[in-house]
Amino acid sequence: MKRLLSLLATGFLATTQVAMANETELGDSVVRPAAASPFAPSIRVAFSPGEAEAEVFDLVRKANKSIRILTTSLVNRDLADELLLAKSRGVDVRVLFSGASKDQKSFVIAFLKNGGVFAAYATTRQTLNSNFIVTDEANTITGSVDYASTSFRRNHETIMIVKNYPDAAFKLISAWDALAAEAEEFAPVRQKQGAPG
Amino acid sequence: MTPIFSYEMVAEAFMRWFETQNGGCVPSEDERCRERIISQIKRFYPNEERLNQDAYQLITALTKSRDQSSGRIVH
Repeated sequence: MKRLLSLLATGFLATTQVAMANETELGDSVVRPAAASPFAPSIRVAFSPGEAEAEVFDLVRKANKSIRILTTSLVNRDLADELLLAKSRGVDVRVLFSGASKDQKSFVIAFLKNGGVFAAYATTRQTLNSNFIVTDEANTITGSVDYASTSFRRNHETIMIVKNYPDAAFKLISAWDALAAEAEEFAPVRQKQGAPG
Repeated sequence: MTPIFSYEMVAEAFMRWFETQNGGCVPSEDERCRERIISQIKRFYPNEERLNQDAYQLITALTKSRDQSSGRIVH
């Protein structure tokens, strides 16, 4: 019995040590490897051209509650279609555009709005050059890549994919909400002259 | 028979709709604004075949929406 208890204790200690050795520091927190559970936090890096495009599409396709995007560009018909598909399966999809003049984003904003997706142009004093996606308030992708086709296929870009880590997600959502509060939505279409309101 | 739409035709319809959105292009940049919009449409639809799949519906929606107060393009 003593021998059995000793073996169990040794096994427990060994398992704990392996788990600790596999932990990754992220700021003040500790992220455990994804292999432990599909719900365990995980971090990966991807590049474009390469896996970055697939990672972005995968995250969007797997969203089942919400998608928040801040980007300088989404001139990407395939990704726009994925967002409309997400919307049609009940996901709350919201896209905020940043960067140079709004006319450069206007067509895509109109396309998304047409599909019932919230899309607006963020107006700030600073140059806004952030790109991120948050899904289901837990998963994030951020990095240099915007979501235009050229960014995925021609440029050299880097992204980090952080899954099941709500702390990071909430921080990005807070930033998104602050920008959205002052964003410029396209105004309602003008009434005909003489019409009320 | 499916009509053939060009980028310029879609851009034209879009520009007219865009004018109803907070004034559209800045008047002093009208030509450059138009070029940027055409460029954006060309990148969004890398080939005209794909543009043509959407163009009729898109132009109809843009044209209709100009007369509506919702600001949302409707099919």
